[in-house]
Amino acid sequence: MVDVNRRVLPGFGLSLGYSVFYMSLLVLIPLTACFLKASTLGLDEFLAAVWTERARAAYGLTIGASLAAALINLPFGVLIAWVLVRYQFPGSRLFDAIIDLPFALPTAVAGLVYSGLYVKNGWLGQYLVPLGIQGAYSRLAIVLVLTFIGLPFVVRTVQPVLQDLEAEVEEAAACLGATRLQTAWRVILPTLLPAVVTGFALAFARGIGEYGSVVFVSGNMPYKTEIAPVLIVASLEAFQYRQAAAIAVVLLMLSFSMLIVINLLERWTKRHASY
Amino acid sequence: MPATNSAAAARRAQVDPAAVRYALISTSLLVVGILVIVPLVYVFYGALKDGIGAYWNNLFNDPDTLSAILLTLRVAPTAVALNIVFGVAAAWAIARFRFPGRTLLTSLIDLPFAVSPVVAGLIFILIFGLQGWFGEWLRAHDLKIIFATPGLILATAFVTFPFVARELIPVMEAIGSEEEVAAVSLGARGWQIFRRISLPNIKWGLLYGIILCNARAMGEFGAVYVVSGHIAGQTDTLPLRVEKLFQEYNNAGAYAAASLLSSLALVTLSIKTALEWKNRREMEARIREATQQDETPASSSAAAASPEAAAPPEATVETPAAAPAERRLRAVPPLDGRDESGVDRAREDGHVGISVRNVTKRFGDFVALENVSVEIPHGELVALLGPSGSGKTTLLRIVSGLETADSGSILYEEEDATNRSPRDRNVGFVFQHYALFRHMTVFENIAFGLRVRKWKRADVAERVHELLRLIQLDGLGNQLPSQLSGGQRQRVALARALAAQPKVLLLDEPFGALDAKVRQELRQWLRRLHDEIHVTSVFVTHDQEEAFEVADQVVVMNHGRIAQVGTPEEVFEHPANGFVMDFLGNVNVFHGRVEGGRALLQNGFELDYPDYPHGEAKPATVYVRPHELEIDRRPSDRASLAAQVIRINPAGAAVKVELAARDFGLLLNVVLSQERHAELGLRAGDAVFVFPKRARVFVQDYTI
Repeated sequence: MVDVNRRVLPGFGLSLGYSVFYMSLLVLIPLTACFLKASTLGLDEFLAAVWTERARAAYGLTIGASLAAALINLPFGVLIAWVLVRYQFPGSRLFDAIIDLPFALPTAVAGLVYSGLYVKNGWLGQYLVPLGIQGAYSRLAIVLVLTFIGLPFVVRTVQPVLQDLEAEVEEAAACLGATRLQTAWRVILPTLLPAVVTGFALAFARGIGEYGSVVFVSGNMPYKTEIAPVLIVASLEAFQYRQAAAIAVVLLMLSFSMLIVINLLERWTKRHASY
Repeated sequence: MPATNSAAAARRAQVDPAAVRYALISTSLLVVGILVIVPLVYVFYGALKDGIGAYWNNLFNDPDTLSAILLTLRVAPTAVALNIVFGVAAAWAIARFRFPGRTLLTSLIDLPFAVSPVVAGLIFILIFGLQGWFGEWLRAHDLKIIFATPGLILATAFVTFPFVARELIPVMEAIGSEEEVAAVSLGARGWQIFRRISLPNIKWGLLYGIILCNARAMGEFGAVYVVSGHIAGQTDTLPLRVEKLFQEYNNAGAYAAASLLSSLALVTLSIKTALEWKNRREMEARIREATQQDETPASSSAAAASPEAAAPPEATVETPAAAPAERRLRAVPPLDGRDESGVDRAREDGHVGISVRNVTKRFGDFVALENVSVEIPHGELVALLGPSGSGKTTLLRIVSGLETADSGSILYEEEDATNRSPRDRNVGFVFQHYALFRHMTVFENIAFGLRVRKWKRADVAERVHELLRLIQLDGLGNQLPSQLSGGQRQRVALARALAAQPKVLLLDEPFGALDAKVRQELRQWLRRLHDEIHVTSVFVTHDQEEAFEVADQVVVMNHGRIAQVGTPEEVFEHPANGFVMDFLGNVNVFHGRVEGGRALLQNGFELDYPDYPHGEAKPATVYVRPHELEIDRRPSDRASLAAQVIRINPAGAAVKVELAARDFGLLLNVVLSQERHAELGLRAGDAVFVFPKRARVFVQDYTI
């Protein structure tokens, strides 16, 4: 079938050639440029650029906040997916549609609104700040806005798997004597596991790279609320291009390993989802 | 295990209790409310709280905001257009051809998703910026990319690069290339194929990719932020303008600009949702169409035995040629809701395995089961046979407890089980598509019912190994279901159902998903297995051959009622009505009327019919099986009709002859023995006479 197609259908050379050309020009060569730029620093200089105390604090915060947000999204994402697939209620389709808002809403808007909501006189801040919960210009603010950004990932990876989970499997468990909780814990959850982990990894990866919303809410205090992408911008604004490139390389390595993990996870999900 | 013998407990297999449902729904509404809906409302509140006039001023009387809007409207569509061309080309290459590096190329498309937007902006500065690779050259030629519109376009294109390709590739793979190959065979070339065949097929997927791409492009912040240089009125896109206003403590202006972007997001979501609903409706329509086609055979003319049918609907008419004394079996309508033959047989043994009493089930307007009663003798293997839509699966599910009847009761070994949950009924249920737990090994699948019943570890292992031997899968206990063949999976499903020694084994089209050869083997195996273990078993099938081969008794169903119960021989040789006759194999059908002890068909074709001695004429149908018709070259004094041979198929044990009876305007199928065929020496085109050796007359008024 493979060779038949190449002989029968036209456009193989043109479509593949153009795809590779455009991708190289827009994506691959520029990314290589980043590595090359960083490599003009010697190893010592490179380490000096990427491993300062300030940078370490920024990496820690970026990873920690992304992890926290993804962890929050884990149970809520599964819960929302379950509710969307299993229950009909008035407005359930609208509810389904609104879940995608964080995908569609520009991150700058999210940042703007979250900073407005959680300050002392904001809609939510007026109740939270007196309790000592600082939801704006703090680390918590970063976690909150990353939770918003990552919300759809777990929902949208778990939802289709849950949808395809045949009712028969649950009925089989019930016939075999399992209670509803036993069924959920021993049959449904293990089936969903690959999708849940994939959604978690996607939310986490998204959080690591996020910039737009975080700069609005964090306050960008070095050592305290400064994330790694902000550090890159700071280096750029000081015209330290090579240092910026070096930190970017660290972030890229992190992103690439996430991408590989996610790819493997997706393959796992697919294998798991079919006999 | 809580012994809540309520109807709700029985339904718990499918539906969670209301309290759980409401708790889960309200928790998720609360989470989404705080995280998503409150912020969304707040944008518009912040934009409009000073009134419409102030809002308008903030947007369109601020020259920098206005120019930001216009810049965004230039940059985003350009980037999207570039990515559409790439997306279509990449999807064509990847979804239509196999080539080395295809998987790598596919994964690389996702790369920009993993790159932080800030890094995306940075890489273009490193290339085109003043200190970058082309910095000197660009300045020499007075070209500006960074801190100018081209840089914004590049950065936006990078960030939104994957969207179109990622949407299109699965769509094109799902559609397949048959139509395009067909177009090539019809002489279409290159661009024509794409424009006329591919594009109409992928247009919704393409649109979906474009709107997602566009939403991200218009809202992009990080990458654009790095390359823009923040020249007010020149390189600020709308999201950058929001940030600048925010930094200047001009909240009203920031929220006004943000509200525009939010509206864009809402429009995007609306289009996306509309497309999804459209897809879902199309899919539902396709499914409806498929099931309707499926159900047409169920609407054939004959009807099942019903309480209203007062007189015997069946009579065997012997023509003079045939032997007169054949045993007649009458399926008496279930006056008290029971079927005579099934009850008799069960009582002979004094032991009823399962009783179904006056069960009715409706799905909306559709009556799936109407006052059905049947008794399954203990230890027998019984087939529920009927066309799709006849209610056989519904009956099986009600027996298992997976479905609850609207009225009526189910008894197991004389005990009322109507309100017991499937869990408490101790049934083994085998599903058509196996429903094995994919993440568990064969061993764990079989052990599941034992583990949830808290069997001891050693007992579980012993029982599972015993069952593995029984299903002849010794040594495959550690395999996953995905590593087994279809037939093996079905045997595992059977072993799993049998593990906890159920009182009753129920099988829903157990061989439906298997290919013909495996199905044949598994049928015989199931029969042998049942002879060994003798558990009361009911299986659903629409295949009469399967029912006849495997079952001790067959329950024929039609339109939610029981048409007949009997041994395979009984239902085949003595069908209770026209439906059963028609459903169980080939048959020639003649229409006419009965009157004064005779059945009169068109053109003087007449049969004796002593069962209807009344003078009043009634419409009737005569059924004759192909082997019950005889062919002769001369007309006899018996009832015979003139016909012409159309086709002869001598392959096989018997010879199949197709004839046209022009007087009746119908085609006849006759099966002759090889000897008789040789004796007659028939050829296509020969004029011959056909007469029935045996026929069955069903008076229509009686059967409806």
